[in-house]
Amino acid sequence: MRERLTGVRGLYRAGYRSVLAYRADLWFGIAGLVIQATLTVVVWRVLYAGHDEVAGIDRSTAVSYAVLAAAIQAVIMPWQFSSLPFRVLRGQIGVDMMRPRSLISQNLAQAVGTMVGRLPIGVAGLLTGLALGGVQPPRSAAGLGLWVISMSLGIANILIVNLLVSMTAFWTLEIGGFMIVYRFATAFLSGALIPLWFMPGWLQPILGWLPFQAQMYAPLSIWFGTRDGVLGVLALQVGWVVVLFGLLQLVWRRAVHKVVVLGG
Amino acid sequence: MIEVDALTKEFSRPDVRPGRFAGTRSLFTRARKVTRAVDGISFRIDAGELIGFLGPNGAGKSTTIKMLTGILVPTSGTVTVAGQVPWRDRRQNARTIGAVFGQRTQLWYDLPLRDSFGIIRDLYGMDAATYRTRLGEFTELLGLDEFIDTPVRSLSLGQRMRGDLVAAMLYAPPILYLDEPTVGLDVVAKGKIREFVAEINTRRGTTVVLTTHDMDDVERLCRRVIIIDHGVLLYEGDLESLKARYVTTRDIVVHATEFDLTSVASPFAEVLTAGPAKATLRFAPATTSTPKVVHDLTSRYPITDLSVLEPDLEDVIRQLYTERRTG
Amino acid sequence: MAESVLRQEVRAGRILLRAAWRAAMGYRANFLMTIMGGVALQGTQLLFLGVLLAKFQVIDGWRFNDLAFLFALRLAAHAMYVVPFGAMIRIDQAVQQGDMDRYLIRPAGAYLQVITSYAPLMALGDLLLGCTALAIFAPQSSVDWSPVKVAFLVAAVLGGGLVEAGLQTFLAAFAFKLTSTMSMRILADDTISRFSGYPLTMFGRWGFLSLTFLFPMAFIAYLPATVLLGRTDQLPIPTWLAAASPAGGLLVFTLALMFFNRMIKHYNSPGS
Repeated sequence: MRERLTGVRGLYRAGYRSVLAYRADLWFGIAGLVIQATLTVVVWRVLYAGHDEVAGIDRSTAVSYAVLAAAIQAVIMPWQFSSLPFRVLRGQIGVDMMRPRSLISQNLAQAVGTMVGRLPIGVAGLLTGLALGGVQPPRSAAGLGLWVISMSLGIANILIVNLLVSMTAFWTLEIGGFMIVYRFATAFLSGALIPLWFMPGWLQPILGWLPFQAQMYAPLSIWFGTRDGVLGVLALQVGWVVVLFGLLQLVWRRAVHKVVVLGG
Repeated sequence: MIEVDALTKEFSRPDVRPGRFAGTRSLFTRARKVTRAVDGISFRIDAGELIGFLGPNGAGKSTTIKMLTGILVPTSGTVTVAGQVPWRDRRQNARTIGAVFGQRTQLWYDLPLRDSFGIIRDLYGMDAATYRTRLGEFTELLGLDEFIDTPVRSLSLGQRMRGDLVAAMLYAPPILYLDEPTVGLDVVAKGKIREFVAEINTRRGTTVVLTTHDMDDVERLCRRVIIIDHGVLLYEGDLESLKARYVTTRDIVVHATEFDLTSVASPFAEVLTAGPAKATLRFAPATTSTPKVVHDLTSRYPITDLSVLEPDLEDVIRQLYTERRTG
Repeated sequence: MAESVLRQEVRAGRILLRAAWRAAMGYRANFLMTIMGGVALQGTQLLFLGVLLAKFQVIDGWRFNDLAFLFALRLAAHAMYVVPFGAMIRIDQAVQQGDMDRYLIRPAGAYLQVITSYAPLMALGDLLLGCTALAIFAPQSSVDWSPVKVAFLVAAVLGGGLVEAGLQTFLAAFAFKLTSTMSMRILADDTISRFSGYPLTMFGRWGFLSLTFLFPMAFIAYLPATVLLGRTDQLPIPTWLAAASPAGGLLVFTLALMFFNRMIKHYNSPGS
């Protein structure tokens, strides 16, 4: 067990280090989020000019949500979310499979490492929001605790879905376009760009039944206390993680049978 | 043709110090380390020469070649190739030189080899007739016809290298740079490439600058060599005098079937090993001529077979490096 | 001489581009998906705007139809950048993996060879989205269309594309000095994607001025749109400057290209 942990920890460290290795990348990520958080605050304040409440949400909640979502998105939805397709394409996947850890835990550890490495970016965004008076803290300590739980479930959800989507690489090698569609679809459907409150009425129930809203919108709505039945929200999140993980195992098993090693 | 004077190239790279929090610390440090890859080299290469450019790994060979081709800009010193400064007159220079870099291809990865040649024809503005004759000639010389319609990504290393050679010579540049053209190739492919290089050098008078680790390449192709190490020039001159200077002894191997060679001896040579059927002796060609030793041995022993071992270039080079490093 | 170099460049560009498209067609399998990727990339922003406007109707005094036109203008300008210059996204690899070596010893400009190194299929998605959006929203805007205004629109779209190309070229030039420029180029691209389609004066006087002169995003769509919509009175800059905005792209791009060519001398070919 202990040995197993060290192996996974090594990969986690690799992901974390790979973020830090590109010093300039991290600094630009930070600068970018500071600029974008600032502009976002302005956009939402201008939008709310002349409105007290829109869709039952007041100005400061809307601004907070936009900034927080941008900061969290920067950490947990990196552009490069998995090295798996690249490794399949290069035929390195065979080597990965021979390592004593399962490919799934290797990839998850690496993805978590990447997120930890990107934490400074999110913190910078959060600080910007606080400095501009754009971020409200959670209503209570209990709220914060529930948010932490919900956010962890959201992250687990993202990790699994990302890996699931990356596994398409086992079936087709040209997935660039598909990955981009996926990235933007999740950003939109998870509520990272616009809170579900503002979505058109017919779209809301559909989004509510998709796994994506459990990634970002669910934890944030707990932060702002805008949703009743917090336990129900958490239960739904747990449900999604379980279902998606089951799906991941299933797809993974089929992928193993289909390993295409190119130029190996 | 090529004139190089006090050529120097320095690289500055971030200095990564190991230790705890090395990664996190590197976010804030700006320490850089300057290394001098090429350090004041001067030489000249005349038109029509086929010159070997030798040195161990990291000696500065590739860096020098890249400055000659105009890819890198020198930190100081000058390079003139056919009267031009390569990195300043890039467009002119491109038509003067052909280049083959062993590790990477210059061809269009996703297109058949033939298409790459077509693009080069268009890019260099070749007329159709010249293109056809030259491609035909090269195809025959290098045996390209089996794979000329295969996409470059599916070619073997040897095939790709042959394709790269043709691509570099299609527009008949007066100078050809070859950086490790035979590394990792099988004997047949190596032979084909050597043949081609020799042919374009002798028949077309193309000046060839060849860097290689393969001493066979050098012995078969080059009359003159330039040897560098740690960015400085160690030797410039012809191969024969290099050997004469660094190889002071030569070995002779004799065989006998009806005589026991264990007690073999000669006043002109020193016995290295002696067995019943085979013995090796060493002599100094500077004081004793080879025929003299051969005559002495054959007249006194019933020898059935005899061979004089040529000095091994690799040994010569190794000796040169160690001498430089310790001296 | 200068003219003949330009002619050579155009000829070489045609040859290399043809080769790049021929190579891209070898991977036809995901053609449609790749184009959809391009649509999604910018389309999300359009969706974002649509959802917001459905709830808020007005942004900084601009109504839906004019905002949609402003946004369409920026999408079309973006297409004018990604279709010809999209391959620039791989500049880091070209420098790190040494493809640059090859570009520097061929009889064509290194920059030209970078942007023609592959065919950016995804850009066709941007083109599709940009043209469609402009065709739909330009007639619905409150612009009183005349042949002169249409000509100005075309010039603005081309100029806007060149502004983006210039900004990206400027950043790409740092690839010769830094390990990676991807994040800074993504930052520029993302900032442009997210914010260049808004009435930029909403960011305050200094915000607007820095987006005009420091990071000249205003030239991409906002300044030309204010001219077409007759809203130049809300600008804290002279009207003539807004009227001349389509030429801004040419200036930005020329300066950036000069900078790029100067930076080539810092190229450290890998493996040497």
